[in-house]
Amino acid sequence: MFPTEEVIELSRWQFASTALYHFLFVPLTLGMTWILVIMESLYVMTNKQVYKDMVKFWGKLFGINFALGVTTGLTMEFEFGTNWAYYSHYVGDVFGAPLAIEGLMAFFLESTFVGLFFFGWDKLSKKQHLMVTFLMALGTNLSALWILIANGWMQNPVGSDFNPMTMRMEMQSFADVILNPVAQVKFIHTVAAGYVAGSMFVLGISAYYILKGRDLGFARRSFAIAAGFGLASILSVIVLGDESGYEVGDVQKTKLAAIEAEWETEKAPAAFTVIGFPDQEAEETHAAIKIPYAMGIIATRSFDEEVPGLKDLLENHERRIRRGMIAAGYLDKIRAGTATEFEKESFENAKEDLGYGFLLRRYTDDIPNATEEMIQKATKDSIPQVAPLFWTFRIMVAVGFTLLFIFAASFYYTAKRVVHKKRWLLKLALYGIPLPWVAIELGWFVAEFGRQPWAIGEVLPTYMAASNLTVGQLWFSMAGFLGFYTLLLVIEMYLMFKFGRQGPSSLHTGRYHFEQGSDDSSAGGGEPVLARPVESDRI
Amino acid sequence: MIIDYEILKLIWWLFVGVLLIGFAITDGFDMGAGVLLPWGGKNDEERRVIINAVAPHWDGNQVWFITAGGAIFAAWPATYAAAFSGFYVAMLLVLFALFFRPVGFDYRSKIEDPRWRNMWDWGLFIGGFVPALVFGVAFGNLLQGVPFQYDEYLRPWYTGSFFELLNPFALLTGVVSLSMLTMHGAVYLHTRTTGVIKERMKKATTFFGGLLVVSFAAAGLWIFAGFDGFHIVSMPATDSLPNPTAKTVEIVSGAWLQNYQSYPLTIVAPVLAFIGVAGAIFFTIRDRGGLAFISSSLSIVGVIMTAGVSMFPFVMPSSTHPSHSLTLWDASSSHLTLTVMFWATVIFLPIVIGYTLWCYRSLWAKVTIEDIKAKSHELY
Amino acid sequence: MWYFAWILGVLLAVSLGIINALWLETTACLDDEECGSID
Repeated sequence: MFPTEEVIELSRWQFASTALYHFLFVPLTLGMTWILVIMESLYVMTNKQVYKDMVKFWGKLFGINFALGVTTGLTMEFEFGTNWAYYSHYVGDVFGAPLAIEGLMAFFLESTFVGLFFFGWDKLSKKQHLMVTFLMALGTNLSALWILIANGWMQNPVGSDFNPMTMRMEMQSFADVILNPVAQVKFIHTVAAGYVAGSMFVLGISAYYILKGRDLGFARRSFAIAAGFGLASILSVIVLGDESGYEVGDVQKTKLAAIEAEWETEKAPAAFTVIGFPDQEAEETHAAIKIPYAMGIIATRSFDEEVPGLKDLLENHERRIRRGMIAAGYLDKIRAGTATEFEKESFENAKEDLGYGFLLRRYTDDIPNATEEMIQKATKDSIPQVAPLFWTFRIMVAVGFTLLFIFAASFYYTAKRVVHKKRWLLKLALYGIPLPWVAIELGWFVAEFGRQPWAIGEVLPTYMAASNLTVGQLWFSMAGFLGFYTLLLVIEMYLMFKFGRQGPSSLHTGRYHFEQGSDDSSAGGGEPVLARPVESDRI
Repeated sequence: MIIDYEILKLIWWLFVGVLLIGFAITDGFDMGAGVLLPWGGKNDEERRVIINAVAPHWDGNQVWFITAGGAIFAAWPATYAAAFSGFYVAMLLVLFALFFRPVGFDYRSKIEDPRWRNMWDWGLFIGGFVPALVFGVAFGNLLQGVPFQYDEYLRPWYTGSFFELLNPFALLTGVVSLSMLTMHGAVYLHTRTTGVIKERMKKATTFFGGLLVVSFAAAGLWIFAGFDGFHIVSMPATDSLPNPTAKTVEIVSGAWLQNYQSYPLTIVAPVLAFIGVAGAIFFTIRDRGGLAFISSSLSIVGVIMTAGVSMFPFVMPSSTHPSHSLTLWDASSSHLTLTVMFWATVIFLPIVIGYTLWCYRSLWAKVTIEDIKAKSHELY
Repeated sequence: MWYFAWILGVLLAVSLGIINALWLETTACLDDEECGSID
């Protein structure tokens, strides 16, 4: 019994769309928590009420976003088991550990302190509350750390070994899993991208208030904070882009060659293709414009290391598929209990290619006796589709540099204290709010689509990883996700726009734009809000 | 320190139990509060009292659930894979129901429209009712065995359907868990509220406590009166590499009672369940909130331990291929992973419990209608 | 070790945000009409 192609396709669509959707909310949480830490530190340092109002107002928007982050994150934990049962069985021994530790070490921290963050204002001292905000930020970031350790292991499965008796990957070194170079660069790149998203969100909305001439003290301070934090973040995203993680492991090398549409291995240092039209069938890139030496230097951080091209990689994959067939033959005997000592030993020598043998599973049940035609098909499958990766990567990089420009200009003009006079920049910041999300989602696509055909690089093909479900079950869940997620997004955006437009007036403190002049004209509620002071420590 | 593989497997059975109990005690009361919300609060302000009594804590509480899931993934990957994919539709219903909670709590009071608020109140009800019921239904099915099997590559394959899960015994255990968590929610709300809501919670504690006693006793009698359990005839050594297909298992009437005969002390579990309920009702009527909450928590410990002890060492028996059943000996992770996870739990769980208690202590006060009126724009 | 780089990087980025606000605070007139009317 094996799921049909349709079930596997639907499972992939479901996982990809729910993960992309979840990742609309995560980056903002990652970035906003640090921005809240900055604002609250300023409150503790300067004792100015406006900074406390900033923490509360931006915290309100953060909360609206956070709720959906939690909601959609639940899906991710369920889906490994519900839709990728064989994956869970096959790698749970390694992959499950960082997920469980994420819960214990990070998610508890984040979720417990998020409650205190919102409800602890009157119950905690200023410094205690700042500490709570800091721990919340730390929790969200540690959460990302463990998730990316898990994800890094999918790209480059270190510190583990296949055990034919238990039919799964088993952990050999937990330290290797944590210190996986792919996980490390991925973590920095991803959280820094989240900081950029948070900064752009605050920058753009603050720009809107400045453009409207409302709550200027509030808006200009917020803008300055976002510009400073954002500039540092976008620089680290670009400078520490995760290219340096592309040296290790076959999957990462293949991904890099696909991103660059580099079919032939070039002499070091390889050229960088700025633009061109990759052609998967002909195995070449039409009309390519190249910058000499650039890619070799970026990818290998050296002048003499080669970046292998796709044709060489394919040749290597074909060899590994053939060895994988032999390994699969021994595995069958071991599973049936008929293997001799010699065959068991031979399996140990060949098992690093077992995953490549599994690429044939799509075409035959009998992997050891696959035909030549099947081997050729499986070899073709062993690299991802080049054109989508080539384009998404380039758009991501272009967006990244646009963001660098926005933050650099914002920082420069806030430092010169004339940013409120630069209406073009304020408009750019406002309408540029979606940009980090575009780059982030494309970056996710590059990382995960570029990993195909593997669920776990060189170990388990995506094709084999899915649960034995029926098409009907998949349509049920897809319909449920589509319905709920659309509805939730509409509600979330509605609240974001509503409170974003109202600005700090939504705190009902009486200090901000919509509450000044006539007291009972406050947006939303309409009741006289100034009847008596709510804040205990008004200054 | 190296701990024996066999001991670690056993410890992980206990740890999963601890995490499930932690989930039921913490997240259980806010799910219970969700179930009680439409009746416990007759108007918007009363409902906001109930919501704000759990609002600062529900998110941290829910992490018990997430961590229990993650721990099962890490410590019993085979169980995580077989159970989540086997119970596909049921799991997704729980997931969809859980969607209502984060957004329900956070978004409900951000807009004043009564229709909006009423809609989210029912959302919070669903977010409490459906998971509380389905978890019980799932346990009922585990006790009966689940139709699944393995192929030669240990790919789990569920052969039942969603509606088979909704059989009479499973629905009865569904009532057990639903009434247990609702009673627990009522006990919690009773200590955190005043006036008319407090009175309603007193009644709710008695009602759902009674329902729990009746349904739990009925399920016990059912098992007593010739219910088919699973019994291991032979299996590989307990410290050997986990292989869920290497043992022989037979289905025997009354097999779920064997552990109580072999280890009479385990009878403490069901007894604790009954005493806990009695204590919860008694102390609630006497207005001793803290003792009532402890009693109610003990009844949860008793109920979950009863299920665990009855099935030990099984965690997910297979009704169609009994020898493919998953036990704590053959569904577990490798020695190293269990060791790593053991230390992670031993280090972090006490820290978690520490700051969780600090969080409760910092925010512990009765929530009143006056509070809601005073801080209308800040509270949920 | 990239993880250390992260710790340093976050500290640096947070500091830059704080410094940029303090810079605005000490040297600029923050409201167009009258200074500090909001505080």
